[in-house]
Amino acid sequence: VSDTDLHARVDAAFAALAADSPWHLGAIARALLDTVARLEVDEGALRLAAAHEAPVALPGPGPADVTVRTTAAAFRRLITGQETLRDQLRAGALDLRGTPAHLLRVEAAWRAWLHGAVRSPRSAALLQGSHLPCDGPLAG
Amino acid sequence: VTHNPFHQAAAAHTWIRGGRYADGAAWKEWLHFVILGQDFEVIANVNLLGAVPTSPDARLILLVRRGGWRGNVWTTSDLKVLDGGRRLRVGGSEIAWTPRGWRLDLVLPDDGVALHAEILPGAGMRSVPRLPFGAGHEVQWNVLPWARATGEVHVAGEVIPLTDAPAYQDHNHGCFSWGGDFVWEWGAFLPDDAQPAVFSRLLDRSRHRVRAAGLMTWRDGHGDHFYGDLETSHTFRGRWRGPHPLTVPPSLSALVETGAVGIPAQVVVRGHRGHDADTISVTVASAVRLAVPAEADPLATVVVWELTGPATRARVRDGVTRLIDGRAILELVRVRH
Repeated sequence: VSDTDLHARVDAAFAALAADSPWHLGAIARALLDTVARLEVDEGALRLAAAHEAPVALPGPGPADVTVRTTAAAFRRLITGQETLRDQLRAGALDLRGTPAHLLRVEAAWRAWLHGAVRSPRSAALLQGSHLPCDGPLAG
Repeated sequence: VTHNPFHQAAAAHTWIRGGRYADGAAWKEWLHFVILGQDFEVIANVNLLGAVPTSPDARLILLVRRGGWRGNVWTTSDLKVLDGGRRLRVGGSEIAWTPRGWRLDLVLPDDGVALHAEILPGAGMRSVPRLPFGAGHEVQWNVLPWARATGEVHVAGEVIPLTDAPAYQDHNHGCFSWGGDFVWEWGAFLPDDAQPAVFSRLLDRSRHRVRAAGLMTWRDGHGDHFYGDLETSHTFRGRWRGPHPLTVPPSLSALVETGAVGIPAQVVVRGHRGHDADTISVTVASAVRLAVPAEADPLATVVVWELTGPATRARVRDGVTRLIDGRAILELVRVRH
């Protein structure tokens, strides 16, 4: 994933939310408040911030309050339930850096996006995650 | 067709209502089936999201435990109500009420999980109207507590034969919003013969207040006691500490990934009236959960825990106690923010 790819994907995710569930787009911005988060996925990077009741994505690296580092494959495992946030943090598949206050804001923004995405058919189509085979953790 | 005295009683509550005259978007209606074998379990559910005249979506849930749980939930607008509500087609799956009982042909697209079975009523149906589901909403619960399932289950490339496996079925309908001010805690005890018991409790969303509770029992298939609010007690013991449960659909798992907080290791439900008593004890052995985006709260998710395990029913009549072994399913609804 390059800077450009990553930016295009995040922009598409926000556009899907704007169309299907704009309330959640506002909730992301309200959660972030004045926190800037840098998202690094594979080789790509962008920064997320809140502006005018909606999040904005700025392509490329730069200074931020929180850094989120992952891979596209790990992200996919996370949103399809194959691994939890805790699993990935322990295994190093997800790396979070920032002060607790800033990290909590980014976590709240992430959850607001998830809540919107599961209520948004366009987001489901983007993620192709609404109906994937269940080969994740099995309970006995 | 062999005469089955329980078929006619069930027939009145089998047809799909469709919510034609209801508040369209809030209408919910579902057919729920549980089959508890010795070394496998099946949960199948077909539900309508919205009233039929408004072309609602339908959701098919099919979960099979064979060692671990597998399955998924599949949502589609490809829904047809046929034969005056006696037949429901959802995508390539079909449920029909026939002169023998239920005929199920349920297939989860892409997941390799399917159920082809005939479910014959083996006990008398009971109907519980006007269950409080928050904000003045009410739901009718029609319970077929015990049946025999014959057919086959397909899971992970294996075909499991079903031969007279104990089964449970209910058909429910009414208006409510997921995530509203209610949760339910429900369970069914299924022994090998027709001595089942079914219990439930309706509470407010935060589980501070019980709004209704009951325990229904059957004896040789016929309705026995119906213990009401003042005659029942529900006790949760311990904390279930099993492996991380499968969550369906997988896309919601990241919203409910916290473990089994508040999920008990054992549940004991007791009904008592005069010299009669029934006590159902369930030991939780496995768990799977269904997640539903809350309609009443944009930042909440409803988690429906399905728990199964060995169970006993202690039935006391005229000072004589009889212990009945079986298996049970529990369904605990929780709202997560």
